[in-house]
Amino acid sequence: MNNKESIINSYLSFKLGNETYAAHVSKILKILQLSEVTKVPNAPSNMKGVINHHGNVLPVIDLNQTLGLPETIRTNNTCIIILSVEQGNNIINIGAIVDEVLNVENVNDEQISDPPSLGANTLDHIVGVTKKDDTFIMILDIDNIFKELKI
Amino acid sequence: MEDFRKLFYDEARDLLSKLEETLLLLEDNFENKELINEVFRIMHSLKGSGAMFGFLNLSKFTHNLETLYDEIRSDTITLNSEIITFTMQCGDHVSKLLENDDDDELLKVTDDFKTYINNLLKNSDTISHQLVEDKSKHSEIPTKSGNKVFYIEFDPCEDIFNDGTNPLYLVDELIDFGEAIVKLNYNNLPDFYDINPEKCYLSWTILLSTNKDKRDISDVFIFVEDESNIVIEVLSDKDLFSLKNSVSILKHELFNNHTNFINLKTEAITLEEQLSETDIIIPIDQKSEDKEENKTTVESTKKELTKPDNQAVTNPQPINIDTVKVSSLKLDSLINLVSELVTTQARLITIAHTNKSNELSVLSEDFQHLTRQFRDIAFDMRLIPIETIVVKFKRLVRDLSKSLGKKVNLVAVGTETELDKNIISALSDPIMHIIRNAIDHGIEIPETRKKNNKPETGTIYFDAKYSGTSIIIHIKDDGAGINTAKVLKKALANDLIQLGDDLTNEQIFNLLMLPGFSTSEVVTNISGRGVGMDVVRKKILDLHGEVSITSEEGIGTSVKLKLPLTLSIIDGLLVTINSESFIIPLSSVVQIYQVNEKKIRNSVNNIIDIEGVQFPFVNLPKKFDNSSASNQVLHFITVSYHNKTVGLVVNELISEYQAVLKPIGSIQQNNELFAGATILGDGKIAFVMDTNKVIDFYSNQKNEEHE
Repeated sequence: MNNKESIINSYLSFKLGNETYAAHVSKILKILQLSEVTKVPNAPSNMKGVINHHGNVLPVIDLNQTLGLPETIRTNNTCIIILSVEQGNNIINIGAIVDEVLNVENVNDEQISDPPSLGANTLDHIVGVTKKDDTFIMILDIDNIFKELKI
Repeated sequence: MEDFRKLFYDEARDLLSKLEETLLLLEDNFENKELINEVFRIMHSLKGSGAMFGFLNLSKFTHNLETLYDEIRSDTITLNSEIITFTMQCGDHVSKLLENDDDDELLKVTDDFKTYINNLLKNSDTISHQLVEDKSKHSEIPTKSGNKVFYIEFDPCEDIFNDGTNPLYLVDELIDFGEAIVKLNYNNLPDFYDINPEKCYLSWTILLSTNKDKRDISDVFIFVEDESNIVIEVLSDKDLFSLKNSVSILKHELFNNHTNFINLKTEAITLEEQLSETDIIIPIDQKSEDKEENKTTVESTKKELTKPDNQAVTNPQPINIDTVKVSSLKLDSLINLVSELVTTQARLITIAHTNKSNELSVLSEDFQHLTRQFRDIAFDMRLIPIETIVVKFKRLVRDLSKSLGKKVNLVAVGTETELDKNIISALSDPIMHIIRNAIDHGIEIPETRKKNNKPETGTIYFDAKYSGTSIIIHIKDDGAGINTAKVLKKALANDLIQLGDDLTNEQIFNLLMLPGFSTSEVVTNISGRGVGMDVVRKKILDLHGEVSITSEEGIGTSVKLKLPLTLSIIDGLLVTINSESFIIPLSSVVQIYQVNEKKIRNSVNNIIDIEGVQFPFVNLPKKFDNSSASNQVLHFITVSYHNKTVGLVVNELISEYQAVLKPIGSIQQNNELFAGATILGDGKIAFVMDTNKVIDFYSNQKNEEHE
């Protein structure tokens, strides 16, 4: 983790299916309402298309599918969060569809425990787990998710 | 200050490329004084401006070179190819110094070069070389016939020092043109106590005998002509200075306090008459003609004399500046603005359509017209002739053929062909590589060539020409050609093909462009490291271009590059496929037909018969999204695909559309079907199809092989 991330302990939490996930705020540029997405022929199935974001063409992926979770039904709460992703030496922007944006949580490093060592194949993408009230929040490693992902 | 350094940097780059060009020309003709002078001038400019902008080492170094070329032009040293090679190396060195003037490593090399120059200078018979410019030296320049005598008044404005201009430099520059008599006028000098040291009170009157023309002289004053009083007049078309006594007579006249142009002119006419009488150098048959010419000069000068005095004091003719240097950043932002304008215009059209207001439609159509012209001009400004990189190739050919002991000649045709500056700069490396290949693998050594009844000197043809909206560049050599058997063997060894694969020649040549392929048995430092043609191909593909190789053993190889003219705006056809918008580049569209859905559905093998012609086609609505394929009105657009015509089925045809290509970066890497995307008037995104790739991808044939 770089300095910026360790200084700010804020994470944006959101829902994917029934689970709660979070990503560090430094990775999140913007939250948009789900708008019409232009489909891209011959694209991978998790790539939902592109949107026009201030005159730039922004790819949009379904975060559920990208993480190997089942696709969900779009609701009024479905959002696109624009992520800033480091790929090699480039920083690219990707829109990610999530089911619901919840909150900004302040979580100290001590409150984050290592990800469970057993379980689903998404573990590489999880930095750690924290608990708020009675829910587990899985903190995603955004750069790692898109490291090998082709969009 | 940084800005100025940047300016110098640009200027120096220009000078260096000019140097290279001049040296290459000079190589064919060591005697060409004009070219030698050019080299000298380049060195001189580099030295002068280098010192001014703090490139002290560069300046010192070029000073040495300047000295060398001064000796050459005064015939104390004879120019040979060794010196030219050396000077080229020096040129390279100077460009390194430009990057880093204080680098210790470079300074060491600088010293080596300097020693070399000093040796050259020592070996020549010069006893001692005077580093200080002195005027007597200039009178040693053999005055060629064709010299004219100019009368020049240079009266700088008082504030000239404020721009950092040193008027003496300008005077020096004039003196460099030939032989001069210079008079300093200090009549305007105020009393000592009134002198403001920041002001210039001096002016000069110069008689200059030179073979340059008036324009060259006024060029010297180009930066000061607005503020200063400058008079340039032809005193005589004859080389008065060659006449004995004439210099002292003119000098006397000039230094006479009340002198003016008219007096001098009268004197000049008398001298001219003397000259034509005493002139015995001119051969007899030319003499009569010359006298006639002389008469006309006298007549014309008489006419001039009758004109009012102030005629002589008019400003020099306005200089035609036919090119303007603009920083490429400014150009880029202009292009960006144009692109935005085109997008906005598209929105206006959409609004005009929905509002159904006649006035608005007319206006928006006019606006569209203007935008289109504006766009074309703006893009045209970015085009630069391919010439700019060809010079580099010439140098490459020369250096490389020398080091390989081959004789190679580069013939460049169509170098005036213009291409987008971005494409040109991206094109330089691939072409260099192709030429390198041609010299290293293609052209044989002279002995072999002789044996094969070929001229000893191999030729590489470089040919650029327009073809529709593309540009086609051929690089052809008359070398050994590609040995297909060798290529196959190598491909087998590298598991690129299977034993028993039956390949056409075309396919074999395409193997050369696969990664990691090199047929050269000896890996030289020039080519053969396996990072060859595949890189070339990738770079050309990045530019939306195509590469193809043809070759005949024993006769030669030809590489053909096809490139688009510009990268960022294309004319296209806006269509919908399954209610998503797409753009098909107009450049590839052949014809548009309307067909009904039944005909498409009933077709066999994806071939359809329209008006008696059979077309293979790609059913895009179905291919793009089989599940929700729409059967709305169908249009059939035929596009050219390699040398064939293939149909594309789309749902709706909207209009012609100018698409501003937006990069789709990460999407594009894995989705080659689209050249880019564009944002439509209503804010929606439409992808711009690369028809060739779409057809490649969806026509089942060869599909597997490509993947």
